[in-house]
Amino acid sequence: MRIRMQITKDGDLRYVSHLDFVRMVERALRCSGVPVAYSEGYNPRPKIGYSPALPVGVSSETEFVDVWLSQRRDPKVIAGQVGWCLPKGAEVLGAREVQERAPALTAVVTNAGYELRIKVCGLVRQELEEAIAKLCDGSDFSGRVSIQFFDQDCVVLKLVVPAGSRRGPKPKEVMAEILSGLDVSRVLDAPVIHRTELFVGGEENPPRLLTIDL
Amino acid sequence: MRVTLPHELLLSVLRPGRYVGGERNSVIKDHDQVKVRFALAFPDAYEVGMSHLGLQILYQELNGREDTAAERVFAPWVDMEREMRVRKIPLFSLESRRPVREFDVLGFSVQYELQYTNVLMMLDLAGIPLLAADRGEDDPLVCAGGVCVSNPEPIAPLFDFLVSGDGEQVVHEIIDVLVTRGDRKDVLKRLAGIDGVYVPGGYEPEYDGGKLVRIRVKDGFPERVRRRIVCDLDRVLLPDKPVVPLIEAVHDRAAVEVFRGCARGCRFCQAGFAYRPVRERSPEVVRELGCRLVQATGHEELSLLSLSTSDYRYVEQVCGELAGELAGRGVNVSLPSLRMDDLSIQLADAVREVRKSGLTFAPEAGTERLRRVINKQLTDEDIFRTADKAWRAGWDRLKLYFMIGLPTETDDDITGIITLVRELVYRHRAGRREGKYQGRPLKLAVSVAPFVPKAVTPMQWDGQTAGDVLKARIDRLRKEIKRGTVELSFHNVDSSQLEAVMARGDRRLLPVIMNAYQRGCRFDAWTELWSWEKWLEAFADCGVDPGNYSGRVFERNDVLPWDHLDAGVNKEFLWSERTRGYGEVITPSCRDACAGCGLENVCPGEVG
Repeated sequence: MRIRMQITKDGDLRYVSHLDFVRMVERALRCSGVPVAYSEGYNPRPKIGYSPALPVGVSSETEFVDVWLSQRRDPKVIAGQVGWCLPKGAEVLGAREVQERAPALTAVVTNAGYELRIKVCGLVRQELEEAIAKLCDGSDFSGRVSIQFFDQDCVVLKLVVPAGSRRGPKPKEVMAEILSGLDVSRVLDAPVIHRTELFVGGEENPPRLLTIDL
Repeated sequence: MRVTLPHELLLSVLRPGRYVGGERNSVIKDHDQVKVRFALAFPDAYEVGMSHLGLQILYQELNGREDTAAERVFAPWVDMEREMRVRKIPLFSLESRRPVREFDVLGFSVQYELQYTNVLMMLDLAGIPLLAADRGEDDPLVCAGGVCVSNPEPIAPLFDFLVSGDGEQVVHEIIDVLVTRGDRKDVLKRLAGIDGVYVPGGYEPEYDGGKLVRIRVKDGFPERVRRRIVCDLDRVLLPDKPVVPLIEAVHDRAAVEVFRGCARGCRFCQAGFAYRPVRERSPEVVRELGCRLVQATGHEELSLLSLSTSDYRYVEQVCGELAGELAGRGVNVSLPSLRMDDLSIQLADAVREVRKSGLTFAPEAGTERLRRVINKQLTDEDIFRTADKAWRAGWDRLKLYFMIGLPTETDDDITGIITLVRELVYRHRAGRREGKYQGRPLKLAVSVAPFVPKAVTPMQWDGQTAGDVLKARIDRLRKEIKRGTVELSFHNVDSSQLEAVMARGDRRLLPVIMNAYQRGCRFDAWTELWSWEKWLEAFADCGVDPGNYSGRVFERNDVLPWDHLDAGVNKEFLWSERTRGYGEVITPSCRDACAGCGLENVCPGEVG
């Protein structure tokens, strides 16, 4: 049986690498006694798949984990058991069964959506819009940026870029490009980046949101 | 007060996960609800400290008390240290991000002499006066425990008190004193009355012509501080919920101690003598703890720890049971510290992961003669027979540990290492040709480290061999052992010399350590930061010759800098072991015959 879970990587877990997050999930599976299936051969590994890796410093509510089980279980029960074994910042938002032979997460993901939160002081909106336009008009930029929220102390940008099976710019790089076009004294701290969605879709279909039907 | 760690700060340092806390099984208490706040410090990076079992034991012992809150603090890496100084962020605890100087006690676990500069760095970053004598009523009590307390003299003046031996019981007696409050002097006086607590302020070393002639004991302090020994490890059921590291630790595993101490009496080994007598856990308790640990952590590996796990009386039974129970959960049992004998191969086989990682053994010396000197009962035949068994069972990766610079060593003993290694390679090759051994060509890793004489061993009177002689012997090994099949690695000779200086040192070394720290020495055990040049400058500045400390030979009747600390093993016994060693005579294991070391009746009912 194959179960897909949606897990958050939030709070201080943003400072933990993807590899360490993987270890955390594996430990939670072991700790909760979930009957994970193992690969055959000389070096059996637990059969677990992950959505595209996040860089250190980025939090996420869209960490998807596919786990192959050696016995059938109720996905909701698994979600509860695993959630209990995870540290603060990692919450299981939901779980459901997926087809055994469905393609891997890294293969189906085509785009990722991010929220970039910046602490500012006296930033001029037009300056920001110009910096964004300059970035988007660049011939090799393959994403979309929009301003989701703007006020005196805080700006939230929405960014969608190719990811997973498609190559795309890193959110940190996009952010650096935009910031380079602004008055640096107006920006108070490093931007806080949070992954909000993953999109799947073949070449022909428009991308759809990857969800667990929470 | 709580420390704020800005997002951009954490993004700018290596492995920010070291500083954020929030791990599974970490305990956060309300400081207003407790009487004693204890900061447990490990003077090395998070990844190293989180692999240390002692820290986890004390964490649970302390947090298990309603009147106490224990939090952890590790040495910030150099990039973080720089930022903390610039931004004026004081050293803070992981759990609540409180400045460590706001705690009642700051306790260091000191396991290795090359961590001493990190102790200074942490005190400095915390804003706590480095010397115990300079601290006031508002400063926390600073203490230390761990294996270096066998001879803590070079750093003793930094501590208000130290704890000798097992911590599980004495830590409660200490907290019971602290709970009742009182002024600093009064509290220290009362702590000095606890068995196992060493207050350096009560002892004054006296020198004559550069030589230590007496350790004067002030009024109200015990003549000698006795090491604490917990006899019944079955009553200590901790740790059963160790904190699970957030980022990859050096040892990412659950661990159960199967026994403490060692009956073998290898004459160079401080741990063996400093933790006598052997105290075993019963197999039921080991199994129970092992299962609880896996449940509480989800670790992939469960290690059965001790100084010589093949000697655990119930090892076969426990291994079999645990391996069986845990295999279904995807957990491997591992057995570090195996002796080079048949039983070990059987055990290793029983718990093997399907992918065979290598087997590790420690022959330590190249010739049978030198092995008798160090009391390692291991003949060349034993080595070849064990290797043969291992190879037949499918292990094609072997790691061997050797020491150079052991007392009475000559060039013949170095030849012995070379011959042994060549012979092993030859036998495996021949065996493969004959079809005796399946699998791949042999990968043999040989690790060579300079011998460091340590306190509380029969070799505590011996000096360390001079650096240039050690380097020449290493060069010879490099030249004569062909690379390819054999991967040779050597422990740094200069850092081994520093280890020897500190291990055999006295309080006159503290200015050197402080000088080295001022020059930027930190994380001396890490090759990327190790700087012998800076240390040499520090020694020169202070007018101290390191060779005088590392190489000095003590006479039988000399006062040793650690004489006022009583590990329980008497000096006469150690001297007689030294004599036997020089005579190449084996002393059998405590299990086979009691040699009268002084600890025979300390734990009644225990064997060895």
